[in-house]
Amino acid sequence: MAQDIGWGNRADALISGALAVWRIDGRVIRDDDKPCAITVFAKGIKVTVERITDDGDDPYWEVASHEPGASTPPLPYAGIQGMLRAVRGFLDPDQPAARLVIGSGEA
Amino acid sequence: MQPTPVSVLTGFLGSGKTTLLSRLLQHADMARTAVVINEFGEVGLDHMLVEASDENIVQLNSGCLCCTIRGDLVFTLLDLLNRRQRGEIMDFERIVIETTGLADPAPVLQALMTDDALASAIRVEGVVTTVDAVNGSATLDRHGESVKQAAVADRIIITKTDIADTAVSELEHRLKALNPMASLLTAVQGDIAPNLLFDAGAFDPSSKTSDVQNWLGEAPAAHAHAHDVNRHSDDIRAHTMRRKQPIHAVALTLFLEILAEQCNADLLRLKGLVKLVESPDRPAVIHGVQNVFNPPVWLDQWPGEDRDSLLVFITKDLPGAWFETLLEAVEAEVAETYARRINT
Repeated sequence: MAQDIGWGNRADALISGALAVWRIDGRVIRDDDKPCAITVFAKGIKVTVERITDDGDDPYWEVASHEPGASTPPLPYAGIQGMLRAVRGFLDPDQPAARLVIGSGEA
Repeated sequence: MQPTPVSVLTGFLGSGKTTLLSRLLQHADMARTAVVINEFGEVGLDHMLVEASDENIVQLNSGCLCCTIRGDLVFTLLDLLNRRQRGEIMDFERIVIETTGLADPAPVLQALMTDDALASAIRVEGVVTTVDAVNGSATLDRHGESVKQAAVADRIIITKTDIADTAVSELEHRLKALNPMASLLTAVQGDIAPNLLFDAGAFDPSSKTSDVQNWLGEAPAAHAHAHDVNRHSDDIRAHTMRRKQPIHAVALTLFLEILAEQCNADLLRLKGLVKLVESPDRPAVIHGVQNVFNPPVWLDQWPGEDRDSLLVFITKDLPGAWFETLLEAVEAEVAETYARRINT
């Protein structure tokens, strides 16, 4: 349980900070019933994020959009990288994709 | 053949780039230098003001390196290298690229760092930025380009200190806040020893230790200390992250991947000296420009007594605390996975 609360805090801080990084006005609310779940409200869209730790498998993230008329079911993501990508995809779908490029020049 | 060092000389319009370059090229140590000058307009002027052998000066006109003619830059460098190999031009030992006064150096660095054809032939030595002591502060207020030029610099040269009415300490303070990694130097009429600018080896593995010491010396010692630039804000922020615990290599990789993906162009530069779980006695030096990172360079030993990981971020208005949160979370996720694998 304590570990879940830790991840709830982390998810809150991760997404709250990410909204600032993405220049998106929004708010993050912790779920009273699920210690490791948060809800993001931005651009008229509601996105839920939960870290699943109790189904016997490796922990993973679930992200779902609750956009009016275009909700998506929760989809699983193995790590923070995929979770952030999914949340941003719902909130800022036109954002051009950027990926890490390792320079070919001698460092 | 050793890769040829390439330096980028930038600075806002009228900040003294050409004067500096012209004076530098008069030094015997700089005699074997090829110069690429980028100017706006069909007819360039700067190349006429730089006193050096014509054969080793190349103009890139009709566009700005950072916007439209990056391909031309790569082609020009390859052409210079080929002509040197064929013995058609002097056997130069370094290349200096002078950008336009409005250039953003980051895309130029990216072009140099990512081109496969150039990879084995050059190494990026760093960015030298001139800032005018007379108008520099006002220029920083008014022109975002000048802020970015200072923010991504490895060396900042304050020029025209001899004719400035006011003390330059305020400007120095502002530049230091903007870019704590960069060395601050002064030059009157371009008078400065070349080795202060071009032999510092900002990206050179062989001199990496001294370079790291340089920018570590500039970084604040306080834990997780964020700098806010002065009242004019400039939207550019420097953030220093210090971490005592070693970091798993896979966590560092994930962290950098997420930064590149989520911050992209707003992450102007990142330099870091990192203690990895897998190699605690040999720190890794990391360096990135926006979403492009060089492969890590491994030092043989720590450059000093301090053995904490230290990462310095120069960003366009990104919240520094998020970097701490992100690294802590990624590291926790990776550590959990390792622990689970060990227990099963």
